[in-house]
Amino acid sequence: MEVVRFVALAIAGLSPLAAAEFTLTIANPIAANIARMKSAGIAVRLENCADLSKATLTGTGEGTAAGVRKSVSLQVTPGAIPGVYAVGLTAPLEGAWVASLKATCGKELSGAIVPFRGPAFVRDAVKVLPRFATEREIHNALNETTGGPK
Amino acid sequence: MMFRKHQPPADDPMRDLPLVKAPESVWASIEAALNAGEQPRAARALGFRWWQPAVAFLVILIAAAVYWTSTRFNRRWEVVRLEGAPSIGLQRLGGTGLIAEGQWLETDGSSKAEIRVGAIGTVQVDANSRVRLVAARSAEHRLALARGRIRASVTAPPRLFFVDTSSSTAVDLGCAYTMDVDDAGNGQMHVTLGWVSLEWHGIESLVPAGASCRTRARLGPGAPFFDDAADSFKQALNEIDSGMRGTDALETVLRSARVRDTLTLWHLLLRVEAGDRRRVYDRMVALMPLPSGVSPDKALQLDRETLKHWREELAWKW
Repeated sequence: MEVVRFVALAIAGLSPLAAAEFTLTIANPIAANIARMKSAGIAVRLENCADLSKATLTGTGEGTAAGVRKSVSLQVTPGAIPGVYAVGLTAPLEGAWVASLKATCGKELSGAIVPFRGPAFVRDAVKVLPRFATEREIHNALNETTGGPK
Repeated sequence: MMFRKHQPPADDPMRDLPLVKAPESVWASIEAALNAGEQPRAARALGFRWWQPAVAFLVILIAAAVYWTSTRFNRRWEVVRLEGAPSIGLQRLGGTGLIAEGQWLETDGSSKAEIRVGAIGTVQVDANSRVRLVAARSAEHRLALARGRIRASVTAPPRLFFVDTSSSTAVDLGCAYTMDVDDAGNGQMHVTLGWVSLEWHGIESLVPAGASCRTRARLGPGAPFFDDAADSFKQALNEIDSGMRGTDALETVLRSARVRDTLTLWHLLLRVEAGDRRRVYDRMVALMPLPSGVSPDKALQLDRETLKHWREELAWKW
């Protein structure tokens, strides 16, 4: 009986580890395949979300406009495939900027910092996190992208 | 002339009126009118007038003139001089002007102009360029680039804006790109926002933001490539696009390809000779495992739907 209980507990304990972690894939906007959002900066896909009806995706663009530090909300347009979104700025930012994404799937969280040089995102510098990015991480990413102080 | 006498009914008060014979002159005038074919006054009011067709013709003529003028006006785009003295047809452009369907806009070494593409965007025409307005309709906005460079920025739905060159047609699926072409018809496109389809005689190259694609006279568009690809990759691809069938070039492309360069490999899969297709496929699968739902056999047979599905999955790494 003790052996059965041990095995059951082991399975229960290991099963969350076996489940893939909720995360984000960031890609060229072509991947979202949303014609009406062709000016999008990136495509985002929510990965390993069991119930996409409970998923959310929001974000802000962090950068400068007219020489002033600005935070601009991002336009998030759902695609035909559930969990796929095209993401773009709602107002222009100058030069280099970063997008901070916040995604939820039920109680699970994921975040990403996506640097941009003008309209193009810098793929190699994308950071995907198992949580929302902190203000400091966003600040550092912006400085790295713009070449400003760390 | 005999007329049947009219007899009023018995209860008609007119029956009591005395009958008076009409004078002969009245009958004579009626007979004369009948002989001349004259119509009664009431009938004449509804009848034919000689000037009516003329008025109708005039109205139609005016309506046609108004329609022709308005459509001709709508089929022109505004052109703004940016630098120097560009010309539309034989006329130098001072500040702003209009370009009509069929007209050429030309810039010399020191001039630039901007075309306002109806209400959907702008096209900057750089120095030493020659551009013709082919169609300026709501369903088709089309330019032809004979030589030089343009920078297009379009906000319309996909497949409304086209740029023809002698070696390709750029179909706007995206927002912003530059395109240049030389007198021989060779050129290159670079997409900065959205994506563009380069099409020519059944060949199609899909060029996303951050990527470029060369076009060649008589060969059409080559395979697109990301601008941050290795120089050796781009150089070898150039050889392949030029029609050189050297094995070394393909080997270099395959060896130096990154995951992101599956954009290029996917296009090459459709273009290399059958003997090389397996090599391209193997490299693609090594860089990124075949997604579920994509059959290897169908992919190698170039099944259209399979390749489309595969491309859509690969795009998440582009």
